[in-house]
Amino acid sequence: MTTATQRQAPSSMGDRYETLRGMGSTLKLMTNNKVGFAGFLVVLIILVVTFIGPLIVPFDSTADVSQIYQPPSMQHLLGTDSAGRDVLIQIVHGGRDILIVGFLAAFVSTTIAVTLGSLSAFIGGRTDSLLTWIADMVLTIPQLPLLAVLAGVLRLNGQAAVALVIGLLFWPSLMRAVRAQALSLKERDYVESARALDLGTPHIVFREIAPNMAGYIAINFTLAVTGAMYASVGLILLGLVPLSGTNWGVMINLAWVGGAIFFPDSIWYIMAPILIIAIFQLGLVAMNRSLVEMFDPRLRRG
Amino acid sequence: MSTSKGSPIQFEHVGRSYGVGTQTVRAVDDVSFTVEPGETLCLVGESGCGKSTTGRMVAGLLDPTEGRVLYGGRQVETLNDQERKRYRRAVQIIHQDPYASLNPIRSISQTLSAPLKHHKLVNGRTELRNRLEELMTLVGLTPPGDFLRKYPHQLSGGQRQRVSVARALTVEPEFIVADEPVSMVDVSLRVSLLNMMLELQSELGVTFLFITHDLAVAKHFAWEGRLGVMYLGRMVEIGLTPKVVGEPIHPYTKSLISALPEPDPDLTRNKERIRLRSLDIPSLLELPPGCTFHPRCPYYEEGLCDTTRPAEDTVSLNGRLAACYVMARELGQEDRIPEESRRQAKLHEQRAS
Amino acid sequence: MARNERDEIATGSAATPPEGDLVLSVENLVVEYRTGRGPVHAVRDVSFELRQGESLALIGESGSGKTTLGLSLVRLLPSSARLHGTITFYSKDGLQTDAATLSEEELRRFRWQECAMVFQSALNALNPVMRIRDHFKDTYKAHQRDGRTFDLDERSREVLKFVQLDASRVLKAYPHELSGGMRQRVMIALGLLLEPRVLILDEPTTALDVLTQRAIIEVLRRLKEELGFAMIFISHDLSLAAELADRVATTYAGRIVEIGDVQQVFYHPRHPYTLGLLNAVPTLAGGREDLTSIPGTPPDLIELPAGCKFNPRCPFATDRCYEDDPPLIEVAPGQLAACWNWETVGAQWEEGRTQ
Repeated sequence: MTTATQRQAPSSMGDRYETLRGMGSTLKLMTNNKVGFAGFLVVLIILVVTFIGPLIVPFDSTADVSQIYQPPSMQHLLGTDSAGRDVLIQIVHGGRDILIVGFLAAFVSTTIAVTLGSLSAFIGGRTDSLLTWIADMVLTIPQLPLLAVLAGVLRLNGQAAVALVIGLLFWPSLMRAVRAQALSLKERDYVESARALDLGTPHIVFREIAPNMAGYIAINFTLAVTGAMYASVGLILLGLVPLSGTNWGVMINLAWVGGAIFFPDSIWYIMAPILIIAIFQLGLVAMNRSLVEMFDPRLRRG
Repeated sequence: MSTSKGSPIQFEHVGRSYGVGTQTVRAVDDVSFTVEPGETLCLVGESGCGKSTTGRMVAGLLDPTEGRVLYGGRQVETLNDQERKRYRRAVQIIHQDPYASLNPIRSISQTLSAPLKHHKLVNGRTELRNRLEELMTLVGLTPPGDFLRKYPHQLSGGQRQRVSVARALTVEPEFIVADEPVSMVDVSLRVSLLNMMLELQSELGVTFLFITHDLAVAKHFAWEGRLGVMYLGRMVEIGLTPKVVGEPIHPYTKSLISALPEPDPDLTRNKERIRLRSLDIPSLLELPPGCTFHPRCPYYEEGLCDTTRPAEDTVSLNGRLAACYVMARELGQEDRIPEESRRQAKLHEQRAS
Repeated sequence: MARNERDEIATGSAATPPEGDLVLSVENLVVEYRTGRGPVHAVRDVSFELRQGESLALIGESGSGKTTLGLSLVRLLPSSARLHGTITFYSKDGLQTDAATLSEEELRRFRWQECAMVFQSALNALNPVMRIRDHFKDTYKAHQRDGRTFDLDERSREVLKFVQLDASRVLKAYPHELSGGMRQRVMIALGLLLEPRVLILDEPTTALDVLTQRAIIEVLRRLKEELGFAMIFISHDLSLAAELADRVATTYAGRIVEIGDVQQVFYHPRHPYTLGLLNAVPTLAGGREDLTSIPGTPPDLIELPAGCKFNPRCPFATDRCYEDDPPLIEVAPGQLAACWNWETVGAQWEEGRTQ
């Protein structure tokens, strides 16, 4: 008995130390998978550039007619747009709105989906039937047309509003997936053991079931971000949302309307925002590979 | 130290049905037995016989739809919240599948610490650490440190089952329901798991309800206890293990014993095999009338066996019970057969002659 | 009043193994899988022979490589597997085929005609959206040798009758409509369809109820005694070997560690693993037994110890066992064991028996 006590680390320090070590080793797991790590870096870089970049590089919105649709050069690395403004600087400034809408909408839809899905699975009975029915209703509505209608009717201005609307439409499929997962996890032997040990419903939901879904939810979250980004860009492209500022969506809209695809010199005006969006999406999707390993110890190497 | 603690658990005409109306399935039907503190009761039967459902009802994880479950003489349903909690903790369960019985994303240490912390069974990290090491040692996983920090997928099936036992022991149960604990473990490792559980029983006085389809394993584990044989939701025979295995009464028990292959060529190739009348297993939705075994039973007698269903204690000999009219007659207990069946039997006898 | 037949004696005493023609000869078989952690040595240098009418039981637990061995005989391994060695089948007309070197096309014609595999009766062994008769049709179409006259319907009924299934009821059924025992019998019937010389059965009675198991064992016994098939049983169940095998081989860490006829292996084992298995398995007959487990854990086929792979768990291990991996040594006529100390093992076993 005495030998055991001698091996003890000091109590409260040990607790914090373990948590930090836990977090550190979890982050390190991101590096385990090469593809995942590459994706993570891409996402990180774009986030930094988009949010910190504008503070470093100012954007001069005055038009310079003499510089319309200049091809890429040392002065303008990606050329200029229809008003002579530098494309690259616009890219740097133009991500914030799109990304905020993307993450916000994904957060809204994921939160709704997880909450309703878990409740539905756990409470069962009529609540379950009702919630599933609501999900089915929302699911069957064609999303882009509805978005268009809502955008017109509600006069959405500001990213928060757009994010909210997107979030409120995109939750059903994840909700059903979460519900299915929760239903299946509920029947697992280790959940039954937790019941036998009388560990209480909060413990079972938050410590036994939810963590097993965490990986799945995280991945769906990143996919929701990509979906929301597409939706918001789509709204902008179709002109359903007031064009303010110079975000990537606006760039595409203006470039399209301004006929940028017809001239080889101006091609970057329309391609740059499209490519940056695509690269960001790719980074997110690639990052999923690491996320999966982070959340499931079984998939870790060694 | 072998003081058995705890209270007996009694089942009185317990049933568990699923479904409604014509689509009712009686997973467990009119089962009665008592398990005394410190003893070992083994439930044997093939798939669908209701033994797992019975085990869950004993553990309080499932409520019976008929009959009463008594804990310490008091009906479980009438217990107040606190007593109910005590009952819950007093009976723990060990599952069959080592790969599903532990949460894959929690380490062994986390899995075992959860009940200890939740029920405040330990004070502070030192005590927790000590108790964890004690539990690991009890189930034979040493050195404890090695195992505590691992995740389930890093352990073998047998080791996982030991962790399951350790987890059950965290709340110091009176009673452990072991549902096929060794069926998915390698044959060469089963015995050490069984012996470990037997040792726990003698050291800690824990009562065991051992559920299995493997008669040989049942015999080994419950040799000093009792064996209950279940068929299609009913208990067809129950008694001391050596007796049930050596001198079975019920035809189903006899069939099981005779059908079992033995790991001994001369023995098994020359064993007398009982031929069943039919290879079809009735569905729980359409149970045969009278004794549910009669369509397959080699001792079947028309009229006698297909009219009323034999009660669990039709044959009653010094604590041995068997649900069979033919055997009742053979053992001189004809008076325990209900009037209606005796009448039908006579009718058919007369017709035949 | 008639008392129905009961207590009918169905003895299946093994006749002495027929000295028939050679049907299968495996030499120095090695199978490795590529995995992220390193190569898995699933089968390491296995050799054995099988004769007409003989049944061989391959007994092993997890980590023994027995399933890989069975799959390699019909070349059903995943693409990450590398196979070395020879698998020679001797057909009725004296033709020798090395299954290890056949191409995909040749394999398809070879399988099921020379050698058929019967899988475990799990629900996913049969296609759930196809009726049983379509399974028979598919099998026939995939594997029949061209130019043979064959009435599929008649043959299907014949094989189903042999396994005691009602053909008219079973043929039009879907797999989920049949019980586990019936599905297993369908799998056996499928194996018999094209009259192969060799049947390989993978865990034929596992996961089945006791009474159903008995029915399957009787079917297999009839196969052996009436139709004279050569069979290989792969199982962890010693009792199955005791019931049906003429010869028994125990496998450990990818090798056969002991092989002999059923009497030799069960009553005069010479390898510590065989000994351990026999001491660990409970018998229903008789009184309370003194059973002992084999200490330790199953082998990791990626990281095997030096010398004899059983040495971490072996109570008889001596210095040599940690250095040299023993080959199969002849310990009695027709019996081989891969153990340096087989004489000690034998002495202890025989002593224990006479007590």
